[in-house]
This record gives sequence, C-alpha cells and structure tokens, in this order.
Amino acid sequence: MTRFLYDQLLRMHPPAFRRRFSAEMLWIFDETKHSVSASTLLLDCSVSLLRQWFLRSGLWKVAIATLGAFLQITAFGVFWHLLRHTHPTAHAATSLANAPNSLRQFTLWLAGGIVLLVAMIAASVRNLIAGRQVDRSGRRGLLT
Amino acid sequence: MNDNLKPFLPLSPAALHILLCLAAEARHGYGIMQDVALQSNGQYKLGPGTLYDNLQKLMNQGLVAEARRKAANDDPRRRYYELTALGRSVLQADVERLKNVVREAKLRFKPVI
Repeated sequence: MTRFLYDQLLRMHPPAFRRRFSAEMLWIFDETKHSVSASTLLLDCSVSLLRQWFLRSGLWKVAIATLGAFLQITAFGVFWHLLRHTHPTAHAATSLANAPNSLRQFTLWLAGGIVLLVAMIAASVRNLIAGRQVDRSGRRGLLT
Repeated sequence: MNDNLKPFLPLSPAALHILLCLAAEARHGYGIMQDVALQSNGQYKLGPGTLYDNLQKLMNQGLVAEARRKAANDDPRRRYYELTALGRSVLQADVERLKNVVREAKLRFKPVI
C-alpha cells in the first residue's frame, strides 16, 4: 500500500523529472523501506512534488500571471464602479465607442493582459502534453 | 578565486555533501545517501526527494554528470553519477571558503586569558 502511494506521488511529478529519476527513487524506496519509516519517505516525496512543480517547473510564473490578471480585473471593476458613481453620464457609456479615452485605454491593457495570460497557460499545457507523449513513447520503447 | 565559480558559491549543505561524496568516485543515488549519513555521523540525512532535486540542479549546472555503469549485471534502475571538472573546481573553492570561515571562527572563539 505504501509503495503504491509512493509510486502515485512519483507519477505526479513533472514529466522530465519523472522520466529521469522515478525508477531510481522507487528502487531506493524498496531498499530503505525497512530502515526508514514509510511516513518519512512519503513526506519527503510530497515535499519533492511541491518543490518540483512550484519551484523547478516554472509553474510559479503561471501563478503570478494568474494573480496579476485577477488584480487587473479587480482594479478594472473598482475603476468602472467609481466611474459610474462620479460621472452619472458614464454609465450610459457601456460600449467602448462611447467610453472615455482613459477607460478605453484601460480596457485595451486589460484585454492585453488576459491574452498574455491565456497564451502562457496554453504554452504550459502544451509543454505538459508534449512531456507526457515523450514519456509514453519512452515507456513503449522500454517494453519492446 | 576564479570569477566564473562565483555564481555557484556558496554551496547549499545538501549540494556540498553530494559533491563531497562524488569527489572520490562515481556513486549511485542510494550510495550517495548512505555516504552523506556516514560523512556527517548520521547528523545529516538526505531523503530521495531532496537528493534527486539537488542532483537535477547540479546536473543542469554542469557540476555533476551521469557516469557509466560499473558492472554489466548491475540493477538497471541504478544510475551512477560523477563530478565534472567544473564540479571539482567549485567543490575546491567552497572548501577553501569554509576553511576561511573556520579560521575566522577559531580566532574569534580564542579564550581570553
């Protein structure tokens, strides 16, 4: 059961790390399971999992980009709300064509930020899928 | 000290122990773990996760490389690692740095008579 859990934790690591080290880590698990407590090994593997995804794989960049996008959207919401209250005529300006210049500029910046965020997420997902495909073909190669 | 070694220094405790283990001969991951525990009289123990995270970093930096298998009938899951020339220079530079730290500590802890 512990070995199964350990194996599952290893499978959750980023593809590049998994391809390179998972077989070896599982071998060390088999060698040390009688001398080191299972909880220590599982904790070590969980810490490794977090470290690999958040520090080494660059996922933190996506997290920061997401946070940035949320901040932009919130700021846009606040800006819009303030504008409607301070300029009663502005709330008729729901279309971009009627909106004041500053609002139009802000909307363009926001749209740019969101497009950038979507592009970054798409690139990360593409890398992940490519990694998995290489991983699968590598395994097939080992079996044949 | 050579200027191109500066970006690698100071080494983290885990990296220092791993490089020290590999200074004498190529070893596999489990061998490194056992040797680190022996070097530090059991005071510093590396788990497989910490070991391979550091090995990956050291390999990406070009301080450690994968070595050839020692015997043909060796377990295929065992992979051996060795120091590169750059890794040896970085290790020597860090040991020199530590010598200076120890020398300074000895001077400051000298008992006042």
